[in-house]
This record gives sequence, C-alpha cells and structure tokens, in this order.
Amino acid sequence: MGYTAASKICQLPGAPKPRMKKIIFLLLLCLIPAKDLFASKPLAGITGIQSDSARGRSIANLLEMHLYNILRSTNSFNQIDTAQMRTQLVRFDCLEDSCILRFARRADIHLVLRGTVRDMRNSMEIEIYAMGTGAPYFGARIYRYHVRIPVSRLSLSTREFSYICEEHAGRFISNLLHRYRFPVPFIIRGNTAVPDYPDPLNGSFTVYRYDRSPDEGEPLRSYRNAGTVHLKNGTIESLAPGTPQPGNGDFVLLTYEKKSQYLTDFYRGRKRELVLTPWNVSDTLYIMLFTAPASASMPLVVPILGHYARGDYAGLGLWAVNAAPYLYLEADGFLNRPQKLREENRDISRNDAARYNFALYFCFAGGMSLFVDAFAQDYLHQAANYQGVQPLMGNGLSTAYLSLICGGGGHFYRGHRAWGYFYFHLNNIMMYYTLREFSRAERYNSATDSYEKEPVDTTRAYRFLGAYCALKLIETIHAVLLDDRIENGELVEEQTAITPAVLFDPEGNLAFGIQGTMRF
Amino acid sequence: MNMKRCPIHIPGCRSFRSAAMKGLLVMLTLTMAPFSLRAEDIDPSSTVKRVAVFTVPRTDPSLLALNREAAEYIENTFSRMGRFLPAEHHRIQWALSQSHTGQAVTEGTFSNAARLLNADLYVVISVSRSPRFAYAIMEIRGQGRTYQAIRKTWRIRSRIVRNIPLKLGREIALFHSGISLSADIIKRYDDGRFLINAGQWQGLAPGTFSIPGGGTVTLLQTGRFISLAQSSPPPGDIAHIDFGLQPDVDGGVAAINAAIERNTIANYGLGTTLLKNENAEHRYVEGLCIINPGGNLCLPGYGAFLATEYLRFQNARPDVPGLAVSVSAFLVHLTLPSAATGGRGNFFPWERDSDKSEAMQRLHIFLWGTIPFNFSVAYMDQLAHLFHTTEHLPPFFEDRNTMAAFMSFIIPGGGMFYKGHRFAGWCYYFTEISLGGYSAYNWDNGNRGKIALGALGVIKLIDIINAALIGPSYSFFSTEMDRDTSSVSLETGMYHTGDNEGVYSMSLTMPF
Repeated sequence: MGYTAASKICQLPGAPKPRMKKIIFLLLLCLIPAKDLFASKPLAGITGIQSDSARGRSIANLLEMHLYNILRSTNSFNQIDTAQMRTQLVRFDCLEDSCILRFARRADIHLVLRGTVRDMRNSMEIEIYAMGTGAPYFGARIYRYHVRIPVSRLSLSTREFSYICEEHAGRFISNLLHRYRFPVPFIIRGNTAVPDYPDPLNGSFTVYRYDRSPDEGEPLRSYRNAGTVHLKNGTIESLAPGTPQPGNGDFVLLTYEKKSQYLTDFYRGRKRELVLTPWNVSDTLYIMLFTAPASASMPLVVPILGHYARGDYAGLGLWAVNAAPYLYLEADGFLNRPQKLREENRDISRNDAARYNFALYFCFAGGMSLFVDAFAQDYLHQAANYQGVQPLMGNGLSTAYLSLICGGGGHFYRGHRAWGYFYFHLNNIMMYYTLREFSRAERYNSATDSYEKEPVDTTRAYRFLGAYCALKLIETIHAVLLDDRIENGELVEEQTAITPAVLFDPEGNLAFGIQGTMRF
Repeated sequence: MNMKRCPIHIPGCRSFRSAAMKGLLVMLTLTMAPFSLRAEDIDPSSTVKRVAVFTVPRTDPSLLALNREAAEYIENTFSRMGRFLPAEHHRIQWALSQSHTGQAVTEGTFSNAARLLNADLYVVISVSRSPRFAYAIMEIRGQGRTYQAIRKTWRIRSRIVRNIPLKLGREIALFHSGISLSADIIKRYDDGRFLINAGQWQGLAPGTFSIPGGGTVTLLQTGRFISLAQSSPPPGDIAHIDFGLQPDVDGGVAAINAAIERNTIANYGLGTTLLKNENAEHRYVEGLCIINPGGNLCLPGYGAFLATEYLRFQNARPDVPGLAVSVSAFLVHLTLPSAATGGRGNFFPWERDSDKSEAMQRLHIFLWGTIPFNFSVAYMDQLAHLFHTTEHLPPFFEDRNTMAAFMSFIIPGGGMFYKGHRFAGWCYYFTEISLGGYSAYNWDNGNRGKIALGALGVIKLIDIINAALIGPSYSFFSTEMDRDTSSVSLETGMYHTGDNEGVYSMSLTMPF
C-alpha cells in the first residue's frame, strides 16, 4: 500500500487516485453539516498556518481560530473544521500549494486560506493568503496579506497576542471579501432559471456563460459576458436587451463588498474602544491649558524627554532638521526684539517686527505641534500594540484644536508624521509672511528723537490672511477626517517591482525595456 | 478512528483495517459519487517545469534540521521566482524510495529519483559543521534535452547556522537571472484559443503581451499555473511562447539579504549580546555624549578607552597606536598656538596679548573649541577597534548608512569610524580640522579663509556621502553578507544526450 499510495497521490501515469480520494473522504467527514455541502454558499477551508518556533505556533493557532470565527461571523461561507483539515493534510503530507489546490478542486472547496508565521526574534512576520478554485480564479491567489508585528520592548501576553491576531485576521478577511467573487450558477426550476443560492439575490448582475460544456475535463474553462440580468428576491425580474435567457450552468458573480465594509468598520471601532479613551471635552480643555507651557518648553523637552527618552531616534533626527530654522527665527526674534532696537535707537525693519511676532507665536503656540509629535507617536505605538488604554488620544475635538493653533498639530496627534511636517512648514511659512505683511517698519528720526511708522498695504495683508485662514480650514478638515494610526504592525510591501529588462529577440537583436512585476 | 500514519516507504501497510471503517468508506464512496474524479482532468501544476530538491541524509539531529530548513527555503525561493515548481514532498519521498537500491545514497539515487519525478532540474544539498562554521554544498543539475547542460555547484559557509538556508536561497535566486518566461502550449481549441502552462504563479495576469519577435498574446483567463490565451498571429505549429518576462531576482535577493542581515545583527549586535537586557542605543549615545567627555577630561586619550567600558566589553584591550594618535592630536589642539608663538603667547585662547595676533587668537579659539571633536574621535576609534576585536556590531546598525552619515555630519570622520574604517576616519578628521584651522587663521587674509571654508564644506560633504555609501569593514559581518566569491571549483561529469551519446565534461569554475 505504501508505494501504491504514493504513486496514486503523485498521479503517476496509469495510476488511479484513491489516496487523494481518501484524503477527500476523511476531510469531508469533518465538513459542517453534510446538507450544507450541497448548498450553494461557497465552501471555505483554512488549511493551516505554518510556523517556525514555539512562539510562532501559539500565534498561528490564535490566528487560525480568529480566521475561522470571523469567516463564520460573515455568514457567507460554509466552513471545514480547521483542526481536522490540518491534521489530515499533515498526515498525508499534502502541504504544498499545488497539492492543496488539487485537493480543493476535487473536493469542491471554493476558497482555501493558508499562511505562515515567521519568528524574527524582535518581530513576527505573518503572511496569509487565499486561493480560489473554479471560475473566475482557477487556483489563482486572490489576496495576500503580509505584515510585520513588533514584539520586542512590549508587554505582550496571550490576551494581547489574541487581540493582535484578531485584528490581522479581521483585516485580512475584510480585504479578501472586498476582492472575492463567487460564481452563483443558474438552475432550471420548473421552466425558470433561478440562481442557486440560499439567500435571495437582488440587483443587477452580469451573466457569464461557459464556452464549453463541463464534460471536457478542463482545468480552466473559458467563459464570456452574456449580458445583464436584474434579480429580485432570487428570481429574474428582467433581462437587459440582448441578454439571452440564462440556462443551466450560466452564472453571476456575487460580491461581498458590503460585508467587507462592515468588517472594516467593526474592527476599527472595536480597536478604538479597546485602546483609546471615549471622546470627552475635558481632554481638549487640558490640552488647551497646557499649550503655552508645552510650546515654550518644546526646544528642551521634545529632544530629551520626548524623542530620546522614548527611543524615537528617527523622530529626533526629523525634529533637529525641521525645527532648526524656526528655532533660529524664534531666537533671533527675541534677541533683536523691537524694544531692544528702540533702546539702541536703531531702525526697526518689517523683518525685525515680523520675526519678533513670529517668535511670540512659535514660543506660545507654534511649538506645540512638535511637542505633540514627540509624545503622540509613542502613545499611538502603545495603542497599536494593545499596551493599555492611552489617555488624551483619539479625540476629534483635540485634533481640530491642535490643527487650528499650530501647524500640523492635528496630523501629528493622529500619528501622520509626514502630513504633520508638511502642514508644519506650510503653516509656519504662511504665518511668517502674513505677520510680515501686517508688520510696520519704524524709522528712527534723530531730529525728533522719535520713530516714524511706515504704512502697510492692508489689501495685500488681508489676502495673505485669507490664504492662511483657507490653509487652516483645509488642514483642520483633513486632520479631523483622518483616522488615528493605531493599526498594529507594518505592512510588508514587496508585491510590486519595476526593473529594467534587456532581452534578445529571435534574431539576436538586443531589446531594452522596463518590466513591472506584481507578486501574488 | 482506526487510522494511523502510513509511512510511504513501507510496503503493505494498510491505513484502514477495521471492517466498520471499510464499510463506512464504501458508504462514503457512494455518497461522494458526484465528486468522482475524471480521468482526463489535467492537473495544472503537473504541466509546469519542475525542480526536485534533495538532501544528503545526515544522522546528526541538528544537521538533519538544517537540511530540512535549507530544502524548504530553497523550495520557497524557487516558488518565489516562479520558473520551476518544487516537487511535492510526498512525491520526493516516494521517488527516493523507488530509486534508493543500495545502502549508500549516491548521485545516481538523486538523478534516478529526479527522472522518476519528471523534474527538469534537481538540487542536492549537503550540510556539515565544524566548531566555527556551518558549511553547505549545493549542486544543481539539469535533466532532459532543454536543461541537461545546467550543472552548477555552490559552496557556502557561515558562522550563523540560520544563514545557511538564506545564503543557499540567494544563490538560487541569482541562478534565475536571465531565465525568461517561456510557456508551452498544452492544449489547442478549434476556435484558435489554446492553453499554456503558465499562469499567475509565473507572474502572468489577464491582458495582452507583446512577445519578442513580433505579435501579441492575449491572456483571456489566468489560473495559478495555467492560462487560456489567443495570439495574433495564430500560433500555428509553434509549441511554446516566449514572453520574455524576467523573474524578480533583484527583489528576491534584496529580501534574502535583508533576512541575512537581520540574523547577523541579531547574532553580533551589541543590543542582543552584551547589552541584551538594556537599552543599547541609549548607552551608546550616553557613552558618546556624557561618559567619554568626562573620561577624556580626566585622562585625555586613555579616558576614551575607559569610557568604552560603559558598553560592557569583555576582556577589552586598548589600541595603543590609536591612543597615541589621539593624544598627539589632543596636544596639537591644546598647544599649537603657544608653540607657534614660541611659548610667548598667552596659553588661554580668550586672553590676547602682543605676542598673539588676532589671526592666531582665532586659530587658538578654533583649536580649543574643537577639542570635543578630538575626544569623540578618540572614543570612536577605540570603539571601532573593540568592535573589530570582540566581534560585535554597534547599535543602530540596521540603519548603518543613515547613522554613518549622521555621525560624519556631527563628528569629522565619525561615520567612517562607525563603520570600522579607522584610518579613513583619522584622515577625514585631520583634513577637516586642518582646513578649519587654516580658514580661521586666514579669515581676514583676502579670500584664503573663505576658500578654505569652501574646501572644508566640500570635504565634509564627501565625508558624509562616503560614510553613507561605504560598506562596513567588520570582516565577521562581511563574511555573512557577501557571496563567497573566492572559491574555485573543479567539476567533472558524465551524462547521455537524447541521442544516447555519452558526454564527459570537466569544468573549472571561478566566480568573479
């Protein structure tokens, strides 16, 4: 039996395939109830999450459990018991994609979920992907999700790991459902074609028709668009002009986008509840009261107690580069303030006056955004990794307030550093030039021992003010509409690559070009 | 359930013994009648070009585990490249059991097994260990008319066992350079369409492709390993289509290099070894900014070495030439203006007298003001020496290029010391300090001072760029990251062509 079994599963020439059948039989024993097997909801199976360490194994188990539960909660799939399926596949050494796809195709499993958890010591890498059998996938990968989650310098127990796995499983299933299409075939009931699906379908669908009959045993059956059908309560209400009457085997592709959106919203809301405090006005009030001291102490507090103490060296470098010009303006504004120039009977230029006003602004309000950046990054990092409920964070009113009083404050508060620095510079430049337009140069008249003020172009000044107000409005709305960056982990983007290509054509001539690669 | 693991290589083993189970299976067979398999089904994955990965058996459990890990990683790399599909594990076991006739496993065993599996390529991995290194030899051999000329051997070594599979995987990824996608037509239809044995796994997606030599191929539907296509002009008698698509070798190698680097830093990094339970980055910064200046103030030169103790080096020894250079440089900073005025000028820079010109005072201020740079350079020089001799990597090494550029920005030659290039670091230090001093001295002397300052800016820029671009000089790190390009291998072989003609080959391979 041993050799024979191997040859059967290997599909060597002339060998029948009872071993594969045996796997299928054993697995079908585990299918949830037998009746559902013949129903038209797609059948999904999680064929196991591989891991390479003991810690990875526990995460893989949690991930499998959450994938199963979330998939079940969508009420859109019939499912195979994960543990049983994994055990049997391991038992029969059917662990490669090619073997599992062969098995899934023969067992009429429509959706196969697989994955790996890799232990990288300081982080864990989770990769989950889904493959579909039958039209329109024919074994292709539908979606691949690859994320790196930090595990060092964090307090992570089973509870936190469970939350993390649930979050990633939720994101994976949500994105998968956004892409997944299930072919619902028409069957002839009485004299009418009806979609063979347990739930009544409603809306307009494109009808597809296979080019060939199913008897030809093709692994990939071509199909084409046959027209549009309008369904109401699971029956055909009307057909678009030119659309033939659907027959046996014709199908429509069912989408799950609403369920995907629901899952996305649900898990986003759930995470906010777990790691952020509920919205309240008093938090914003505290931030208002703390604005001036925080902004004034920013040059010392942010680099030392903020970035350095929290190990945010990238933040420290960004702070040094980005804050330097404004700190110089602030220092220059205070050192060469108009009062001092008056004492020395020197002229006060518009720039002198503008720098002093800017120094006041930056000292008591403008520096707040960098103060927020130094601490919000850490708080949001803690929130992203389920390190307790973070105070003061996730408040829309605070976001709006910070956006209004300092450049990029709302974005830094939400955790969007790049946007924060963009608005920080834009705001400061606009603020400086607006103050400069409103500032009046003063000339010392030695004859009268007094200062004469020069006029200001108010029209031009108000234009600057208008532009500045428009900027603040845009910035505030943008910041309020953004989500807090509390997603766990970092997506590993290695799906696309653009590389130069040098080829030889059949005549031996060189051909140069650029090729794009998308990895599924 | 009366079901147990049925080892594939034991003939006669029965999985199901009880009558009740047999009955149940019969019932299930009947129930499952609609799922019966069609004999004419094409298994898409069976049409793809294949590779079989074998390992030379080992009895040592650690080598056995390494064998398995290496084979798995190589299979994953083949999968990632999307040109040769690794044979399934159970099939490999079966083929080996069929071809393994004697006691010893020979090359013939693997080639016979590969032939049974109908593989286009096969890879044989052999791993071994010495007290300091783990070694692997990987041979790749082609089979059949198309690939029989492929015969390559790689010898890999590493002090980090976890890097062996990665380094083998990197060679496999590089092996795919230039292997463009060529698909066979496996079925033709009356309407001009045809099935090809390439799909999403090989990097194809529905759409129209221009193919070398003119013409287009339109992929109508794409499965994982198979696609439905039509071409313009029609394919006629052509048996295969060359898409000209190259595998993403650069992306694959970059990902593998990143993994090797991660393992290497985890193995040698200060934060994962000597300062495992502490914040290594903080200690490094504190050592540079607080401990070292304090140590140097107490004992210039040797204080820099003492300050390195803050990073908990074991059995550390100072580098005496480095100390001598740094002490000499410190003395120059301290006494050059006095020496230049024959000892008559006031020793302190803020005091000016008739023997100290304004230019000399500027130079004096500059030299005393840059003494902290001397302290920092002395400290980084001793650190670089210790990183070399104790085989550790400094903190922030994951972002070493950025860190080196930053260090060069704040300290003359700092980035070069950070990456272990001590001589280059000293060169930049002396050049920048000299230009700075010359500029300060000649600031009011026409354009000389300004020109010198400009030159200093240019040198500084070169210093920063050089520090960012140059590779680290730590040999233990380079051993892991670099490909082993020094080995020369002699290959001999014998095989038969399709016309049953015996061919003997001998080759000398030297990678360059």
